Amino acid sequence: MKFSKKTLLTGATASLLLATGCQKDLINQANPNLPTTATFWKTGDDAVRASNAAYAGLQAVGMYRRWFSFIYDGRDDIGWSQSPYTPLREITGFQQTDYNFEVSYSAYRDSYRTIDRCNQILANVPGIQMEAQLKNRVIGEAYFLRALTYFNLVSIFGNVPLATQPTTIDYRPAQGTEAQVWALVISDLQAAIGTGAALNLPASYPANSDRGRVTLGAARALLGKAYMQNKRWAEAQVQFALVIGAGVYSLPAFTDNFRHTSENNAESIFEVQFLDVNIGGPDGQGGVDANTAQGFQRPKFFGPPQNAGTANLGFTDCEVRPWVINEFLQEGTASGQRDPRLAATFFYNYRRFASPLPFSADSLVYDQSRPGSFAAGSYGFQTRYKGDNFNLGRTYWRKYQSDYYRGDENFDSPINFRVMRYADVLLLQAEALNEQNQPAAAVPFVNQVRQRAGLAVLPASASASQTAMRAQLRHERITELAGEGLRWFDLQRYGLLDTQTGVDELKGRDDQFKNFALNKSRLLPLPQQDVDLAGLKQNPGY
Amino acid sequence: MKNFLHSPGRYLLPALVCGLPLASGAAPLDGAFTRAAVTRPQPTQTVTGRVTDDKDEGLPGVTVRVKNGTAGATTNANGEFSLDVPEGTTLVFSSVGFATKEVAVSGQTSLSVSLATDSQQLSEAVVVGYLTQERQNVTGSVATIGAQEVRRAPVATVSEAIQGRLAGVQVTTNGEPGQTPNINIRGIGSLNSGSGPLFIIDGLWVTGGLRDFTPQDVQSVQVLKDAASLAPYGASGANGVVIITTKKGRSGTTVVNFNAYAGVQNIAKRLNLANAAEYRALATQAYTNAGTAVPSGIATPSGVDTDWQKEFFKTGVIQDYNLGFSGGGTNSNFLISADYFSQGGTVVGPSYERYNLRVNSGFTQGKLRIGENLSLTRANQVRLNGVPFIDLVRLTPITPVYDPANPGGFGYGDSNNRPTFGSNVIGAQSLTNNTGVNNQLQGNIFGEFSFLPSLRYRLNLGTQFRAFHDQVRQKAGGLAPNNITPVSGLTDAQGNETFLLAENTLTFDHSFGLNNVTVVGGYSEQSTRFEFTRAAAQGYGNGPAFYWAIDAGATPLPGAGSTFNRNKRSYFGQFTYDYDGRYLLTGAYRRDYSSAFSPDNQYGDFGAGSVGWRVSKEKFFAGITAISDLKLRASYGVLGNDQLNGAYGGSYLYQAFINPSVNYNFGGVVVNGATQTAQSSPTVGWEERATQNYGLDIGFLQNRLTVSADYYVSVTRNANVNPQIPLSVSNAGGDPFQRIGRIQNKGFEMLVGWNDTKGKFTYGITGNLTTIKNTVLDAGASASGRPNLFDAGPNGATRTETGYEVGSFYLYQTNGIFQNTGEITGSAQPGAKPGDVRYVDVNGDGKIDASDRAHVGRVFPRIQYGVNLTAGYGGFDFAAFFQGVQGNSVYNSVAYWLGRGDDPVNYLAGLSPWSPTNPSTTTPRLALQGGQNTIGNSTRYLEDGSYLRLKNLQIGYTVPKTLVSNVPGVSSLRLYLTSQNLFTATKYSGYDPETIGGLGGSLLTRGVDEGNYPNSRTFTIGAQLGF
Repeated sequence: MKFSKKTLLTGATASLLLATGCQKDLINQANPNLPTTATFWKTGDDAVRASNAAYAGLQAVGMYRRWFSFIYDGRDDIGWSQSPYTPLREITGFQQTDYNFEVSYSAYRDSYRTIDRCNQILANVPGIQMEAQLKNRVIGEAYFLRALTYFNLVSIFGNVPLATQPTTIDYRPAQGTEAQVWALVISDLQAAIGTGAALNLPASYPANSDRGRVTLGAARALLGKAYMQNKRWAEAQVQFALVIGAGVYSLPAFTDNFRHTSENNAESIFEVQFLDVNIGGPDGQGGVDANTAQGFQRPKFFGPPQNAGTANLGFTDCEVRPWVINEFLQEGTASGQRDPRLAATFFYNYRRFASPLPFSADSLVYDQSRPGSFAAGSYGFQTRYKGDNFNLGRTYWRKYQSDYYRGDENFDSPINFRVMRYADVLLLQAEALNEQNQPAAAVPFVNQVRQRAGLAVLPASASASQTAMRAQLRHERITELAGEGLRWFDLQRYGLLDTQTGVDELKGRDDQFKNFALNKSRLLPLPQQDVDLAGLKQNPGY
Repeated sequence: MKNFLHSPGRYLLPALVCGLPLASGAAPLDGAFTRAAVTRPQPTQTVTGRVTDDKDEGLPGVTVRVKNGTAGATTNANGEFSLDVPEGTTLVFSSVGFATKEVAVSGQTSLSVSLATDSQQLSEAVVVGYLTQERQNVTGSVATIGAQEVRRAPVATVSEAIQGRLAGVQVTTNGEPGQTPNINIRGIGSLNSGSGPLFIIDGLWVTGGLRDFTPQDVQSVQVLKDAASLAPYGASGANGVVIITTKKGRSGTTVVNFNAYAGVQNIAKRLNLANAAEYRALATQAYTNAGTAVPSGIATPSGVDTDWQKEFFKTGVIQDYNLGFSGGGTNSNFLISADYFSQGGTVVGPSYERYNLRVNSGFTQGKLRIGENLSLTRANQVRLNGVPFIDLVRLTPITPVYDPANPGGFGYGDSNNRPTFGSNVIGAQSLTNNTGVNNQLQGNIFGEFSFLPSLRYRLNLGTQFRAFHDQVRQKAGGLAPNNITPVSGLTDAQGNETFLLAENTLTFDHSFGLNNVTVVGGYSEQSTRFEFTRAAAQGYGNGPAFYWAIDAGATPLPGAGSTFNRNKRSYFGQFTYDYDGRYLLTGAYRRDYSSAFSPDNQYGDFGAGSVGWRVSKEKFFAGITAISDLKLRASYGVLGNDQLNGAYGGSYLYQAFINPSVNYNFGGVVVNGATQTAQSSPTVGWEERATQNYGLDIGFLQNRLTVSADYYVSVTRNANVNPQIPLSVSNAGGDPFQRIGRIQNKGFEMLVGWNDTKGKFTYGITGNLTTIKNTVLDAGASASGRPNLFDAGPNGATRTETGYEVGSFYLYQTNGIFQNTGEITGSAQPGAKPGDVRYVDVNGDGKIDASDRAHVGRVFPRIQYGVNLTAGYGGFDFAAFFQGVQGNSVYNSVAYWLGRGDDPVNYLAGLSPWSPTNPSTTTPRLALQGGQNTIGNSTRYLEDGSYLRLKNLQIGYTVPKTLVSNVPGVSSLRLYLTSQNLFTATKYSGYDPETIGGLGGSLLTRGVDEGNYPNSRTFTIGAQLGF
């Protein structure tokens, strides 16, 4: 093989050109996978997708998927924890020592992730050329979702940063006072509603694929609740009256509120939507993708314990103080039965609660094979926990459990969490009226709720005075709403968390309140990370 | 040994980095690659002879050349040569790995020459960027190790093989089959995970480790450490460069070699854990002291008594078989090498096996040289699932391995009756089969054309193509009480990564009298393209037959896939100059463009220079005979780093993206959502690492004793660091990068060698010593003016911040145990009970809280060292290699889990907790509750991480030729026994003091043993056969 010099030179030059073919854009590479923030925010479709993403924020583990249930139902005087996960047990008992502990940490983190999604909409959607009505709706939804998130943040953490702009690395919103956060909640809800004839949100969504979006009623109800927490009774009454008067809502069967087969129904005002897709998929804490699971996790965490040799039930990280059972047993139905809401709310060992009222199938625990005629001792609680005094003595949550359709519990529950439902609004309206010293005016609203449960109408004695009505309403809210994340707000509103007398009363029902420190324990500690990095002032007492 | 080659720099081929058959510098392979045609002198005599090693074995491939002339030959497979030479001449014998020897012919026609092994490394060729220099002319800091030492260790990777053997090179590894060891050169110059070195295999740039590259193909490994040596690699050189040269064929008879070893591996250490009875007694104490009910599974014996370590640990088989053919003609050479390696794992589950095929060849035609190196690899890995080395202590002995009542059939805790949150380690490996297959092509082809004797052009084209296929076959079942839904599923991911390299260089080298000059200029482009697709499905039933195909799954899951490109373009120049080999000067400059940065930050300019003075070549030194060689050297330069971790390989971090899959559902129908969920890193750009290096090399007593020492100070500027940001900034995924960091590494490195021969007895001892002081000079401040910090590790055990090491331990300080209420009264822990842990109130504010944490301990060892002893007598050879670190601390997560107290776990056997009748001063009372006894980030779990390890012990015997020759076809046979990690002396209480940094090798948790897979103790027997 011989090469002439010329051939070689030509070859070398050709190789040079080939090798250095110089892709012109070699070093200017666009990401082929994703739109950028500059290419997005152009169409109405972009706006709707952004709003869907904001809703998805509510599904986060730190919010409604898991930890809100512990923060609200675990800390109140009904729920408590004997979890072997010690820090979890301790956070529900006012003994949190790690201020970055995952429950409060992720509640705070995921709330700000949701807020940021809303802030992106509020900053970008107004500039999009799109159908005006849809644009207003998307903006109204974003205001509502931001308000709902701050509503939770201020109730859990108090003095939180007021982020109202899309974040960048350097964005450091100022820390607000509780009053400032409440003011933002209220103004956001007013903005969500809109003014005059140009209301932003529809009363309802005819299309099934929109069921679960924010309605006008939801915004008004939440605004009313915000006023209630601030004891602005008259303003609350106005909003609730508009909700009630809209004629959109009614009270179907009580258990429909806790089942996936009857979601977004006539009683529902706002729900966080869960679904059993992507089972076993990531929970989204490290970042959301198409595989992120959408299941509700409370049923698994709150469920009664499995016993040896049985299918997976719950972790029982939150259970029930027995006093609340007696609250239900105070009064039977008009036909002399136990209040049906008792069995719908709890699993309990009926042998431990003396009552003249006949027991029903209320001691069953996940027994799909039970016969139509319930035979005591063969099925249910006693059988399941036979020989285990520890578990026999406990009381467990049934609301949101899956026993009505399957024999086990897992992280994939499709049951929506009802953030607001009509019965709550009715009772709050009654309370708003009573707090304005109109106990009699409250009665019809209470009776609607009682009659749905089969109870008799209120006796006249109940509305004889504001004080009597107040006591009655507190009882009604327990029997109707226990375990729905509302009791904590009630305790705040009743002022029981602000005085030693109040705390002592709670301690009488829930021994965990012995660790409750005034001016401290009503709030959770702000995450240490943000105290360190954003310079937040830690909450008092921590 | 001075001036062992005539006229250095002139005949020395200033080779380009790539593909050049090894040793073209020190020992140019004449037949193959001599460039310049030289008129041969008239022969006047034919000399034949045989070259042998110190065991009298013939040495093939030895270069024999006439001193001050050009005639030369190469020995054949039996070490024989024949050469026509002028009378009265002197012959120079040289071969890599052996000391060059000069023999005067003096009228002899038959020579018998024995070459001594050279471990002094003063006389080898050193590849520095696009040039090759003789070791004696190198002015930078370069560490080298030869094939013999690399191949001594029965290990999967080159990184493991060189561990401890090179000053300034820190390798940490674990025992998991198929792992990629961590390798850091001169500390950590970055805070993102792109802190590993660049590997260059025969001119091909490779990042991300060398897991699938067989050490059997190695001819030499070189590590470049200082700026001057690294400057030619500017773009990627900041973290050091490891240059691997593979074996090449040599002219002469075809050589066939077969090497094999096989043996067993296990985990040497067992923790002394409680059995069921001991556990139940201790756990009862813990529940009772906490005032909570004792769960029935603990109160009542069940007959279960599981020794989880015994169930999980096993003896694994390791083996390697290598068959090689090599040879060549006068103008060509070739090597074909095939290798099979497998490792069975020392615990139930994981394994790794690998097939390698290498073909290297080259030829010369006139002024043209062409060569190629090609390697094909297939690797199969079964991965370890979960974190079993933590679970082994979390699982209680009353938990059975198997429990048919559970879905999947494995035993686990029951959060109420038999509490433990540990995952069943056997079940984790059995229910999940997580496999990875890699098919890889790695290679380059180069052509070099000499226009003039002193000017040549070279084109080097390289590629690495890696196709991977990962599958996770998940059978339904539970492993722990809090496991997520146990459903069966298959995840099938496939993808590939293509790296292309094109380098053009023009080299000029010439000597003007005593002035020797080499200049290189070049242009290169690199591109990486990554493609990935994943499918998944669920619903594969409960067996016993499973059909693991996506099609067979009842419920398909959303697919995933992505592509990214990452490219670089570079212009560079390099020169060396020396005057008479006495005064040495080098310089290099490089401009690099990276597609990973925004157009504003795309390019960086890097450069370095060095000076050297070979004092021993000065006239005034001539009378000093004790010192045979003395060189002083210094260098300074600035290098770059564009490695970033993050989504899409960190390729697009400067842009802000919309996440298109933030889905929700309305009325049970999934709807698509899109929003920005992660913050961008708009300011990322080139990290710059500036290094000063001062060194000297001395040889004493004809270089029998050699000392090489270096001191360096290296500062990384504009480091891309990603400090934690407030949660209120809303960022899902990795923290965004900001170009704000400054990190310093400084240290001292020394290498001392002694080699001698006494008759048939040869021996050598080589020691190396490294110190590193790592300091974050500046971590920047956040927008609110607060200093940035990086908390990492379990319970935030480490904090990286200005003024401290990367990954510095940041812990509460324990101070004994409260013995009585008197000690508690007035202390900073008024709520404590006797038996509780007492902490130091560091800030003296009367309470113990997060502000009482302090930086303690030391992540980087004060000293790392290696000592290599070799000896030979007749046919026997012996090598012992000790390696160790001294003066570092390790956070022991296993000890934390055993001691934390608030989680239901197993205990150490014989644990003697504090009680009123047992006033322990070291072990607090047991109480299954929270509070300050359970603080994880405390010095209770920080231990001395120093260790001394007999890393490698080898005894070999070379069967005498007379015996071997009875076997037809066999020309040589060596048998050997090897033990790796035979013993480790350490005070560390965990499985293994060697930490890779958390579980994934994170820089910020470098000193944390987070359930690391312990290194194996290995015994093998091997044979090396020549045909």
